[in-house]
Amino acid sequence: MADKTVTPIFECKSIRKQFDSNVALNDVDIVINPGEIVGLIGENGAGKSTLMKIIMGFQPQTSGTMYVHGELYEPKKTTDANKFGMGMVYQEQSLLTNMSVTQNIYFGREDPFRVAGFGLNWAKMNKAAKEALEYIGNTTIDPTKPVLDYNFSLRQQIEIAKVLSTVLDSGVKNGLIMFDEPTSLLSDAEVEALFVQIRKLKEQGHSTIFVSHRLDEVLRISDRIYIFKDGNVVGSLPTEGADEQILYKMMVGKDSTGEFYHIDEQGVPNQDNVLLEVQQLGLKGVFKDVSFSLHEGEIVGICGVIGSGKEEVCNVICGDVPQSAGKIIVRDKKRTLSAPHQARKLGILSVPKERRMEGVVGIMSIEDNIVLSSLKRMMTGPMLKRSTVRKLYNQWKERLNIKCPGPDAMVQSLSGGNAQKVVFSRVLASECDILILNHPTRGVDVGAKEEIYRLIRDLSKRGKGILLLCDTLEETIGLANKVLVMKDGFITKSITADKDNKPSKFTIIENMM
Amino acid sequence: MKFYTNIMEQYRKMSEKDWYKIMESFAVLAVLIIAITIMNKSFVSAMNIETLLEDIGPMLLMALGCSPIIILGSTDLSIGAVASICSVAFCKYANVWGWKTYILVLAIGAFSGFSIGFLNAKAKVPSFISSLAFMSIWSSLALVMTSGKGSLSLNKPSWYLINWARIKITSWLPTIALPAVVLFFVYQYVVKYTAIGKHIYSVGGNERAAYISGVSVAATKIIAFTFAGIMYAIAGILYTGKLLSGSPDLGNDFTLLTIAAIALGGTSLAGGKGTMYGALLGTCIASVITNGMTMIGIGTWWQRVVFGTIIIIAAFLTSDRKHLNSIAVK
Repeated sequence: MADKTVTPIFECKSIRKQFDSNVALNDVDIVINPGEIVGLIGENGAGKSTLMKIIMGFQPQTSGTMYVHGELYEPKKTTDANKFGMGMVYQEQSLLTNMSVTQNIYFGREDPFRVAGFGLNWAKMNKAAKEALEYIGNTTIDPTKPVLDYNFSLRQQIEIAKVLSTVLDSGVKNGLIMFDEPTSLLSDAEVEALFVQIRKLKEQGHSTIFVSHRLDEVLRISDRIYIFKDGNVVGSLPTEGADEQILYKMMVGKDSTGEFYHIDEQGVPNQDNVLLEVQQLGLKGVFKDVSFSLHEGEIVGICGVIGSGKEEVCNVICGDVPQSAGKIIVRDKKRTLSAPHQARKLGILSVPKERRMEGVVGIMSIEDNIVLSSLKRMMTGPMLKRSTVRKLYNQWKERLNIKCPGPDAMVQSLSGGNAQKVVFSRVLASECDILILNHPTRGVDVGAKEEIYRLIRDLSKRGKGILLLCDTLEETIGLANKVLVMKDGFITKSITADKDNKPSKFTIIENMM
Repeated sequence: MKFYTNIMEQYRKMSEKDWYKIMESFAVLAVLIIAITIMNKSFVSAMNIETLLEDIGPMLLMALGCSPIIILGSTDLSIGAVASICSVAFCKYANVWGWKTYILVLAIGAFSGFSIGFLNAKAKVPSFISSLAFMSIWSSLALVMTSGKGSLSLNKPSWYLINWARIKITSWLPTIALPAVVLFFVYQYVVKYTAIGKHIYSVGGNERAAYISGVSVAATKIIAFTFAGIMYAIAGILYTGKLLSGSPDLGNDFTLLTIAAIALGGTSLAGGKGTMYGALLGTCIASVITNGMTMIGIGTWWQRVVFGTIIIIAAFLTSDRKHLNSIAVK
């Protein structure tokens, strides 16, 4: 623990947040010392995001007080947080992609660069942006180019530079940077680079709040960890001496079943029954000559870095993007898929990556979301009966253990994990048997993750064919019967992964890079 | 006691839902009726109620047709123009085509709606633009049909085609209001209890998610627009019946009025939310206001000022500011 005599950079006392009768945060106390990297962990809906939103001034607390450098802190808007030297790097980035890097970094803070009251000194601004990027150790990004030109991990660096420069310009020496699940979209190497950056911030005297669902990362990067559960801080412990088992126990309140991916339950696919076969599939400029087949009860995982074409292969197979070459054969019949609703009729449906954008209709009720992909099947004559829909809802709520206020509640009121379960319910209720799971556990807490793994096993046992894209290699290896490795738009290797003969991470990375 | 808490719980749940908005609109309507009646007793006379229902009948058809479009998150500015061309076409071709005129006129409406929907769904032309274009096209064609005369009257030998809409069932109930009653229930059923209804709400709520979920977004839009066009056409026919003539500027006021009515009924102009009860109540409110303004002596010139203001207020009340913050944050 840090020295008690130092004034903490940030402190909050008995922060409470209540939405109607729902307590999101219950008397939370947190202290962050200068130069400290603090990890926040907890299941979805445990209150981490709510706390960050309160710190950033997006929403006021119901009661409780916050102090920054010992001063009372009552933010009304996010710029107040910036003034106090605090900034946040968002999970789903906040950059304007059509504007230049410079414009983004100095967005809303152009005043110091004004020339005679109007017009901007662009050269000076670009130079300052360059310096801001150099401060975080990046010299490759050209600040005059639009953000659009850079990939996700570089955009994140731009965002970090932006937040840092905002914080430093506020005149505060020691800032507090919050990272909300920064690694969920990064490859392993990119995560490493991010960690180097965070450690550098520490050396410069800044503090960091690091939120992630990946316990191993939190253990590696942070000095101290706060564990959230149901709106309470159930523990705070120094990283030294902690391990995943301890954290898991505190977070979930139960022991992790050692067999995370249920490998012993992995089935053997029915090789006689090919559900889906693709031959020399191609999408101009993205991937080429992709061939594989998916059998009944098989889980095929696709690995590759961002830009390898794995996402696009899935987009083509689920009908979202039309192919430019090759054949898609569904149950021995050649098919052209021009839209997802056609694919659905052939039994192909996907759990999309961007849950809130593509997976659920937020302002529609939970039950209407669940029934959305199987409306035609649910009709009794010309009528969609309310009771039929309710029955479907009850069935899936029970099966997937969805925690929600009721069938009529809007999906946007649910936490990430529960919203994902609604997506799964919808996809499974459709009775499609070729499922494309695009990062099914992204942004989902450990407890829900395990439930999803169990569900995936269960589905393959019932004879569904599953095409799987995962966040981590372990996940892919753990779940799949077969792993396809993609690189620069080609399949470089197809590796079988029987339950007693799992490939090593190394073999896969070798073919990926 | 338990019974009482149950009722309170029910009420709390309801206040978050469509029902609450319906009750709100209903309250507004009741207040309006009472207020106007106090100022002028003859507002509730059988004769004035008949006039009101004559207004509401055709307008409700347009509001019903347009509601799914608004729920889809689109707009339709061709409402009045379609009604106009249909009334003109009906008068022009009735003596030649006989009963087939109905088919011709409905086909014009369907074609108009289909085209706007198709352009919107397939060619990705915003419905605002394509419906604005069709508004211009139909208005102009209506002028061509009347050869520049202000209106075209229905020839007396053809009156038999439309006489059914000129009957009074009782002293206050005209037959012109009946198609709206029947179609109200049809629309209510379709929107609430069929696949296409759910599709409309899902597309309005989150088009991308609906698309990925296997909803045929294009078909949904085209169907909604096509049937809307047919509804405007029916409204045009009813106006022909009422006036025994057709005119190119007959529908001019109704585009704004219909959208105002829908917004007044609690349908979100941003899409994804709305009910047919809302369309019904909104239409009643709009008609009561127009009629009431005349009743208490506000001139027709001022009425559009009132409606413009009402649209702004209704849009303000139905926009979902409660969730704006969380959308920006998440």
